[in-house]
Amino acid sequence: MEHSKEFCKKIAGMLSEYLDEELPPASCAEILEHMKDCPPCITFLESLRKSIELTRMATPEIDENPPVSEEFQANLRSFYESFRKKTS
Amino acid sequence: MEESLEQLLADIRSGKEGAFERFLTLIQGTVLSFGIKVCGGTADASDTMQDTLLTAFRSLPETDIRDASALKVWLYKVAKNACLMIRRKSKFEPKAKLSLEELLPESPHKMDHAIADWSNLPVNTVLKNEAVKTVRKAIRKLPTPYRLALVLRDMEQLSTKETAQVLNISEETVKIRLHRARLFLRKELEGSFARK
Repeated sequence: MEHSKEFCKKIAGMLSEYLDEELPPASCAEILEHMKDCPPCITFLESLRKSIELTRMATPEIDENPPVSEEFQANLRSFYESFRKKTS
Repeated sequence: MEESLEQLLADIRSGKEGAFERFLTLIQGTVLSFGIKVCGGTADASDTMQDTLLTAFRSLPETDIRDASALKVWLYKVAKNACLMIRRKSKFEPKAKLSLEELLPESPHKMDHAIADWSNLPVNTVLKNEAVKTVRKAIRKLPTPYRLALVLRDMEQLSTKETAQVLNISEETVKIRLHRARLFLRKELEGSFARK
């Protein structure tokens, strides 16, 4: 199995698509074959997988009723009224 | 967000009582959360949310959107444009492009020591909170095109195709930007764990 620097970089370049299951089967097979015998690339893959997992956890906590400006409320009210007139 | 969107669209178009209020309740949290992720600050995000909702309310009844996915794409497009208008005014906008060469280790065979395998660390609450803080900071450092791809795909859970439609770019470009953004975050996390 090839483990040159360039080949490992080629594998690293495909890992996002691999994790997203968007790679063609031949490329997936190439990655799986390489991973059988390349611990550094396995570690790299796992660190990328963990980064994605942590990104999904990083959604900010938000106030369900965020403060809005008076101007926004007035605009919204005037929009409701004109829309109801059109549809009634 | 997809729950009952199609019915809601029909109700809005027919002028059904309470439809806009239901729409507002359903989407304001999503739009605000998206704004915080892209703009960084709550104040900018709140402005973004208000601009997005007003634009959406004005234009939605006139559009020919019929399904939930198209509505989702359209809404994120409106929100993204509002975010970009606000961010253009900011002097803190990162401008750099992300180079793949800089994001990958010089030699993957050196990675064993470089990474110290933080990805296998047990994620207890303290560690997780720290890591999540690092991720949030790193997202703010990303140049906007990469941040948008990452937020839409990994946080808002849009498909590659939907993300491409929101950003008006090809699916291939979405994949390239997403991969570089993820590599950037991975590198920031690695640096953060290496310092501990």
